[in-house]
Amino acid sequence: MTMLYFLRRLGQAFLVVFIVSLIAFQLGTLIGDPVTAVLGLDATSAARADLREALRLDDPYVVRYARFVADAVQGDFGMSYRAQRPVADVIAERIPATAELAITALIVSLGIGIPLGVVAAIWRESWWASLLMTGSIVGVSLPTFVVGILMIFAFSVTLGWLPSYGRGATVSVGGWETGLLTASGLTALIMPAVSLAVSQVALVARLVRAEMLEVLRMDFIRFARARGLRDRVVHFRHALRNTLLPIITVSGIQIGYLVAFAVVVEQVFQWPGLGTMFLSALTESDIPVITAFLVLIACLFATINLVVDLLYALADPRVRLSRG
Amino acid sequence: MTRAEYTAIGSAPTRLAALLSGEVDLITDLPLQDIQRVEAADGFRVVSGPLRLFMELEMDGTRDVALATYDKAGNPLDSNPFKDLRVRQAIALAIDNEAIVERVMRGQANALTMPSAPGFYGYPADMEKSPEVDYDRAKELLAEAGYPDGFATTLNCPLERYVNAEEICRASASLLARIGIDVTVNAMVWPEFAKMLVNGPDSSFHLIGAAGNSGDVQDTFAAVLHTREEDSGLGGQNWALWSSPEFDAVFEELVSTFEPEERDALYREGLQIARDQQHAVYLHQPYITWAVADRVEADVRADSAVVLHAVTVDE
Amino acid sequence: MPAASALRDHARAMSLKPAVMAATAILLILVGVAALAPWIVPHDPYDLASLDLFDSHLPPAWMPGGDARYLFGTDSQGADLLSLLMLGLRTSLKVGVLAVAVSVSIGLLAGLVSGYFRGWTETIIMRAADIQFTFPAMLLALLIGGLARSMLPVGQQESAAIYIVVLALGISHWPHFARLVRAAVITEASKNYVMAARLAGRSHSGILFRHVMPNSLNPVFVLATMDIAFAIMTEATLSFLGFGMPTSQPSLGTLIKIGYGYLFSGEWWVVVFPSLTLIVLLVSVNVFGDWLRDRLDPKLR
Repeated sequence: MTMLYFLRRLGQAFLVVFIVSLIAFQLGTLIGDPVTAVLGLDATSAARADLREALRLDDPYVVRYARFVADAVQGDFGMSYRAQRPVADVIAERIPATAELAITALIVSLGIGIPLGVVAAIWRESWWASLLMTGSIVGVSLPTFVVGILMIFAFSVTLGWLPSYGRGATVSVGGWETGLLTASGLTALIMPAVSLAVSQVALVARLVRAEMLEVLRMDFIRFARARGLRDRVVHFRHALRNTLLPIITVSGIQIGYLVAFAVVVEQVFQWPGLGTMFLSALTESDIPVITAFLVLIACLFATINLVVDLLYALADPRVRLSRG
Repeated sequence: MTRAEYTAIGSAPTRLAALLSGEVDLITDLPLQDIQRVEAADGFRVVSGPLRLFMELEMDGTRDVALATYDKAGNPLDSNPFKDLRVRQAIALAIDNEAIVERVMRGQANALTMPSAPGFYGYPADMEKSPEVDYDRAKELLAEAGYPDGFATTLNCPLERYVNAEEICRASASLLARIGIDVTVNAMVWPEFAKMLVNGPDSSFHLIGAAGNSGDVQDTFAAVLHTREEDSGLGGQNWALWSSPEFDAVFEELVSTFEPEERDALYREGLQIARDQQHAVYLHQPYITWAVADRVEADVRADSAVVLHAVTVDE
Repeated sequence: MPAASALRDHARAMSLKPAVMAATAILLILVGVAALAPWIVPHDPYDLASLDLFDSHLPPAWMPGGDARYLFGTDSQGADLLSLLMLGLRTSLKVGVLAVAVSVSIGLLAGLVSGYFRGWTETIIMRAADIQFTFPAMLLALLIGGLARSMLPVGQQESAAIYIVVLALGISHWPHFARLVRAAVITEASKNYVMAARLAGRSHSGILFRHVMPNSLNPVFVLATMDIAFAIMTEATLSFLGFGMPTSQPSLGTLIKIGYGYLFSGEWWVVVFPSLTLIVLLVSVNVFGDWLRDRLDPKLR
């Protein structure tokens, strides 16, 4: 049963990656023209034909897709038209920036969102809990890029306190370029991480509160109360522990959101990560980079979902029965 | 000074922020709206100079039926208004280059009336005249050409490649609206735009920056103005599909002429033909604008490259 | 004890809190302005012939150099910013509502069919929904939009832009509705009256649309309200990235994108006003939607 469930989920993950790779590849053949992207406008038609030949652009669609997949599984996504370097390298050097931004925002949004959700659930009758919930609606309504722009306007343009772009100085730790160890790196991280986290904090708080309320309504909590256990024990020993499961799911979803919105935040702050790379590849028609990014994202999401599902199934056997 | 670092910062506002915060000493392509801010800031200044490029609105000179062009009711036209000299002249009369230079380009450009510009080898400066704007005459010309109510068309417009390209297109659209030509601006990212040009070009009306390759008027003639010829490669960047046997004859003669004065006369003759035929609507020559820290001494180059021997830094 | 607290919940949900009243009032005003925008704008920025380049880049009327004709100043083309905001609001709302209509239509059909027939139909549809759930809606919309745009002939993209955006957003969000409807339908279909209708030999579609659907609509209505805010936000994000509404028919997101270029130049009004309008719109839709959810569907809280 568990094995079958796992295999089914794994199959689904592969299907996602397959479909996205198909769309990404198709998109690559439709956007712009690789020959013009490389040669520019003033090339002769003979030079164009030679390059088409060299890039083997005239092969049938299936052949080109098969070649793309065969190379991709070996980690070879071809050469970036723009950078004239292997796409894998271009992507590899962009990963630390995006990872640090997304993980910082994740920690902030869970670190603030979970406690807020818990207290809002426990003291749900109080005036400040309902104020908190109204505040969270405002938070959920704030588009990341608008928060970013207004923060730049306030803290960079008007007050001049924080840098408005880039990730400051970085140091290399075992091949990983980190901005977390320098003062300028940390100040540069503040605004992007906050604008990415604002709506997520609100979202996490709302989800955790809803889950917690659900748990507090359950029979065993009422039994615990009936047994005369103190509120604090009931809340934190029994209720919170049972809320952890949904929190796993929430975190999984969060990573997805964070990566998607990191693309936008990176654009606002010119954060040198995967998002800016992807967007400039889109405007420059750097097809190998576009395709590789999309496939990578699909793999990431498929993996996250797989892990979340499995954790869920391991932690709560009922899930297997109802969903498998 | 021992080393210089080139950093690619894609977005213009952040490029400026990098300069003002002292992280870089020289930035290229300063957005025009930020010039005042740089000049007002202590320790920075703007360096600018004409770019070897001229902006023009190119109109389809070959097709019998123009692409994406409609009558006022929205039905596709069965003709190509752009092929009619009177329509081309009407468009030129409606486009107020000087207003575009002053408001859209904030003065950082030279208005032009022919397909060449200061800085091109062989550019006859004395041939330049002040641009003419006459909406009534333009409407008359449209009526004579058989479009008394005007028509509707699509202006294909590249994004980001040229200074304020989209703003120029939108300004052109509002100016043309005054003579009854409804223009939809179809803005495209550069690869999309380039693909459109190379495939055809699939465009009957577009904005483009033209130059030729080496900055000689003869080069502009060969690449941009000559009739397109697949074999010889002539007219390789003639995206207007303009073709004038008269002009081509001048070009053939120019190629085999070596006497400087005769060549000069041929340059003038060729430019005069292009202007008389209104091969395109000539807009302006944009400036390159860099912003630098005061300790940097730099001269802009007309091909907009940042070359280190032209830059000195006071330690 | 639980009964008492449930009662209190209910009482609180029914009372109109001041925040909700304010949000609803603002929302009504915004929707009214959006609906009437083409007729009440002080200047028509779509009437290109009326634009004058020499009116461009003017600051708001109360600032030095401002012009009383243009309350919030003008943009780079000399168009009145207030009018652009009103029309942008209209475009944003229109895209949001239409996109949700697309999501609801697809989701309703998929949910009804899979919840009523179950079996392999359900498996296929809900698996598709599961798969789509693993990909963030925003990236998906970006992809669908890019694909659709690149398949159109040159010159058609501009006029088709709004449909492309609506479709991309609509398709990227249908699974939410499909899941919701399916769950509601399963509950509903097991009720006696549906059994009776089946036994009476009514046709499937008759039962589905006449009986099951009307009884499943409440939660859909609530989710749709919340989803309008989401669609407006996603559209704004796409437009900010340059893959949404074009500058010739700007939404609030497009206006923010244009304004972003002037962030450092001192022309703050072209970015700050659209940003604030977008935030006010989203907050009021969400506050209203949250209240609606409390009222119509206490289960969802």
